[in-house]
Amino acid sequence: MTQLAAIRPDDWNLPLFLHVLGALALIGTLAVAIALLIGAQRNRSVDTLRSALRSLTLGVIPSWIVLRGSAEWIADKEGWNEVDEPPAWIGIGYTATDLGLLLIVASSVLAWLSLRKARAGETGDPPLPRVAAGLITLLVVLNVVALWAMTTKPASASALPHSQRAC
Amino acid sequence: MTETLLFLHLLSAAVLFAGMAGLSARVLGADVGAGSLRVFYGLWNGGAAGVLIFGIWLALNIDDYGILDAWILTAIVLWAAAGGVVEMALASYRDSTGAVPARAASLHWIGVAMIVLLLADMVWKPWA
Repeated sequence: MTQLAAIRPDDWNLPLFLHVLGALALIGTLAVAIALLIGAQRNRSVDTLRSALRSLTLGVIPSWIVLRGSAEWIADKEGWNEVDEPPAWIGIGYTATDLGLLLIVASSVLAWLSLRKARAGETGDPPLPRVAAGLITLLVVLNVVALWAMTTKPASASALPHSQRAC
Repeated sequence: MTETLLFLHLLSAAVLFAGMAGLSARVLGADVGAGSLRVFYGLWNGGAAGVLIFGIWLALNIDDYGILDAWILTAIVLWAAAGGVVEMALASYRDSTGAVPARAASLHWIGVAMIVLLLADMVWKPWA
């Protein structure tokens, strides 16, 4: 418990760094996407909607790729991929990221449809940006749960493959 | 206790990154809006405060770490420098709606680089 870093091999550092950076960047870019989608809903601005779509495609999706790719890398380094029944915190992490991809794709499609309608000059009260912002908010909550699971590692003491911790 | 502190430390880092991403979007020219910019500035400051408080608490809580360890002192210096640089940049675009001046944008990205370097310092723990 008190020797978290001392027992971590040096060659785990790069995948761990990329994993934490990807997770933090994902939450950061999701917050930007929420703000821009809500802003686009309020001011009916095509520019704001375009910025929201860019934040999803150029910020959220690359962050997700870094997070998910480095998760696989660090899991392989730690030997979790060879364990038949990985502990709950691994499952929570994978569920949050894999379900997260669906939410990211769905919200990106909604933002794109909304932008297309706005460009075509359709008026009224299109709910698409609000729905997309709601999906992304759900994803932020999922990521905070995954962050809690990754750091506290509930019920993992008997299932450590190398008696080592990642953080 | 250690796990809870680590969670709060990383949650604060996530809040800090949310603020940093919002300010970065403004620097890149996105129409963030004055209200959202205030929220992102609050996230940046709140996250930075949480990172420092829970980080120092963690260092005191873990036997092998000391507040005077070189990698922890490096982290505190980077934290302070990044905060100062981003604040200097923000002063020139906080109250305007136009494009962010080139010098302010440069300062902002230097601050972002310092935060990424700070994260690397946390993971690699040089001289530990």
